[in-house]
Amino acid sequence: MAGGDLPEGGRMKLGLSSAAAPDAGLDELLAICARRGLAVLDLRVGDAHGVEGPMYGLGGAAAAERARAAGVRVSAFRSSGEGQDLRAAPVAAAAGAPVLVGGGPSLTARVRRGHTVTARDARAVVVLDGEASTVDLELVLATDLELAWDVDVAAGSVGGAAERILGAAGGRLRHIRILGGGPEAAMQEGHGVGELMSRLALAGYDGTVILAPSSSRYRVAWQHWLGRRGGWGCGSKSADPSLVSLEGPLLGVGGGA
Amino acid sequence: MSTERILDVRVIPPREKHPAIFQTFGALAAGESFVLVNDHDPKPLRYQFDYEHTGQFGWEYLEEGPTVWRVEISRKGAG
Repeated sequence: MAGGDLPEGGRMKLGLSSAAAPDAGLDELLAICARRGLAVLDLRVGDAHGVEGPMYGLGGAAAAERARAAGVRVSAFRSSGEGQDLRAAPVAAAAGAPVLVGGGPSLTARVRRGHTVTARDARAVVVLDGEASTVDLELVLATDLELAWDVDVAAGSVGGAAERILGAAGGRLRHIRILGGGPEAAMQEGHGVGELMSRLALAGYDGTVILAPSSSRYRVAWQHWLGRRGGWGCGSKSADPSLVSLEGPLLGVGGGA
Repeated sequence: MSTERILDVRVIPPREKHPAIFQTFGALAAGESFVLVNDHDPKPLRYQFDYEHTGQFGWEYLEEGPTVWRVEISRKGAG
């Protein structure tokens, strides 16, 4: 069980972004979550999970139900542009999950897009990137929108930003995505991840922490970490003797007869 | 914010895990606790607590695998 026994609120929940396996369908993503003990799943609009799409798609309610049956919760739909906002809003509303509004030219544009999403009866969460200046924080906190924070561990130490953002945002911060978690964690020593997680614990943070790749360079590492790709092994299970034959004349080494 | 503090160390680089755990424990007041989440049984951590904080902590397994281990670690009150 991947945290299916946990109540909806009251506890910080670790989860996975579909960006870690953008070609995986929903059922495979849910199986990965169960295998890794991850309680929530963040679905990026446009990935192959098959939940949303202009002409087809499982739909939000069915996806949420399928996730619940697997002991996982769909935590959010992540959008990176206005077109994706409009696709995600009805699906997210049906799933009971928010749309995370990221990408685009500016934070001001994200706030505007967030209000467009809420006008479509879906919850909108504005994504703050990396260091997120105090001005950025105040811009979003002046609205009635929730906040998400993308923590870019590879970019530097996140400890100081964690203290500042947690202190300012308080309960308005509900979604954190760690770019560079999972198999990349071992490479992130000294970047403040321990401090970040400790601060979240002590603050009683009860939102989600989502693991996502920092770059497509680590695609193979993620595939292994998610259990989607094993090594070659010795191959004895599927051995085919007809592929190798030494029945013809053998040539001696050095050409001697 | 909730009243349950969760420290999920699965995302923390290996050599930072124990320091993060002990920093969190050190910030607790008497009677407070947090729930440690890990992907294996944190027995070596228990031994380190026994050695460094003898008699000062509580340790209760809330979940024992096979995928996730959850342990409530509390700071005991004085006296």
